[in-house]
Amino acid sequence: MRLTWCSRRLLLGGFQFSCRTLSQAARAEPAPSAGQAGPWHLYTAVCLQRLPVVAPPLSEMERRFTALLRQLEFERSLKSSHEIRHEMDIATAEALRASEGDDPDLAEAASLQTAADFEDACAEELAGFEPAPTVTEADRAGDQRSLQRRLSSRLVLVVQQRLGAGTSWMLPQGRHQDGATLRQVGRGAAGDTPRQTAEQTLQAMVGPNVNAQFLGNAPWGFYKYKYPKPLQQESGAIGGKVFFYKAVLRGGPVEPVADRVADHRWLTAAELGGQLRSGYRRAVHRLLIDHD
Amino acid sequence: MALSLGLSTVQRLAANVLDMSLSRSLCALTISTRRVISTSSPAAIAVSHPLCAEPLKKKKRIDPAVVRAREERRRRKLEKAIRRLEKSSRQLKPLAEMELPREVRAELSERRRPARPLTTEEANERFDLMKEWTRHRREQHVADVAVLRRIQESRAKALRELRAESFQLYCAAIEEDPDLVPWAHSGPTLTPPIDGYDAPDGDYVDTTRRWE
Repeated sequence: MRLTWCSRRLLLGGFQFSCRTLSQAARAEPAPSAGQAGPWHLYTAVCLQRLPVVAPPLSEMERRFTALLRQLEFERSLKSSHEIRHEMDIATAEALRASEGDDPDLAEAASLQTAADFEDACAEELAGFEPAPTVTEADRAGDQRSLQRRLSSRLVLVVQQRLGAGTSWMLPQGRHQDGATLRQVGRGAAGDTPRQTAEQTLQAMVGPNVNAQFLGNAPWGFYKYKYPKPLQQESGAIGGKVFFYKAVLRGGPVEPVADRVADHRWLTAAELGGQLRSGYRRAVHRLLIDHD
Repeated sequence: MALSLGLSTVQRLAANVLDMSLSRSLCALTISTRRVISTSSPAAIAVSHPLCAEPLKKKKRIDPAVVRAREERRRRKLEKAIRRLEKSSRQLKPLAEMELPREVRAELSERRRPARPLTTEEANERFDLMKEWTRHRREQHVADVAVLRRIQESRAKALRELRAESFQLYCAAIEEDPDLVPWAHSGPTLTPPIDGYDAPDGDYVDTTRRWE
């Protein structure tokens, strides 16, 4: 790497500079790090999330406080026209009973639709509408491959990816080819940014028709692992460095490609522990919102 | 016409009569003062081409103090007008949506609810519940901040590692993403959408107020 005049003033691997703006320092090339035993393969992984479809039910505290707020609002309000009408209906009915049906005007007034009748008619109309249930079939069946499960939580796509001979449960991951060192035509061509690699990886794993919006050009998480010895010798690299990218599922069918992916699951943050290895799970968990 | 007039004729005519007759013909009169040698005594009077305009009035000199006084009066008038307009803009205009409708305001006495006094127990319960709620919301906020900080740190670490690995990739990663802003998402609803729901057509009455 070229050593520019400003990089010589940066301490090795640190961000200590006195009067330089952050962006200037960021754009200055770092000094070459010493003592790297061998190259690491770079991977990008995609954390594809389905956002919550329904709001979660109110907690105990929220229910009590909502009731208090409703009560306060009722006490501080004026009567609505509907309530006034209801009171007048009651008064008319009373007057009619007192006069024992002699007064024709009262009789006519009492025969019109009362406020109570109107309320009942409205309630009947509402009962005729059947909203979709928040707890779906997939919830009851525990179908982890379905997107209709756990509608009030975020779901993350986890795949059983084929690696060499075996498979492994992980987020969809693809190798990043460094354009500067590799002159190749076709997939993973020279000059791809990690984000582009992530997008290509996702399409390769779950089909080209998925509509995912990626959240920015920067990775959100990092995980490093060493290859087993035979693979180290074979590939010439110590291991892999995985950079996680986040994406939001906007629609489109998720069709896992059979020759890359054996199986897939949509899991909440809490359920990831059951599927992923602990070190990997910790790295993934750090970049997720997990309180739902 | 005037060339035929002799000097004696000009002397006999009064000044205003001369002026009137000239203006009727829209001409101006000139009398030459150059030395002319001639055997007869020409009047040296000439008449110009028709001018189609009156000669300009003589400009009277105005006292500078009077001028300044006039300017001052004009400025004070304008300032007063500006202050009046600004006062109007400082006043808060009434919002129709925030005011009670006219019909309701007329029947205010009938619409008031009978004030039901709270017992001490009820008042204490409400007070305690509100305190519990503020504690609960604060805990939620603290938890949210912790989650966000954890995610930020995860990203900072990822960027550090990427920078250590490859500077070019790092520069590509910290580029702005123009598709990210504006971000739009319609949030969670109370019930999920019904598949293939056919919303029934309805009537509505447009009550938008128009001022014309």
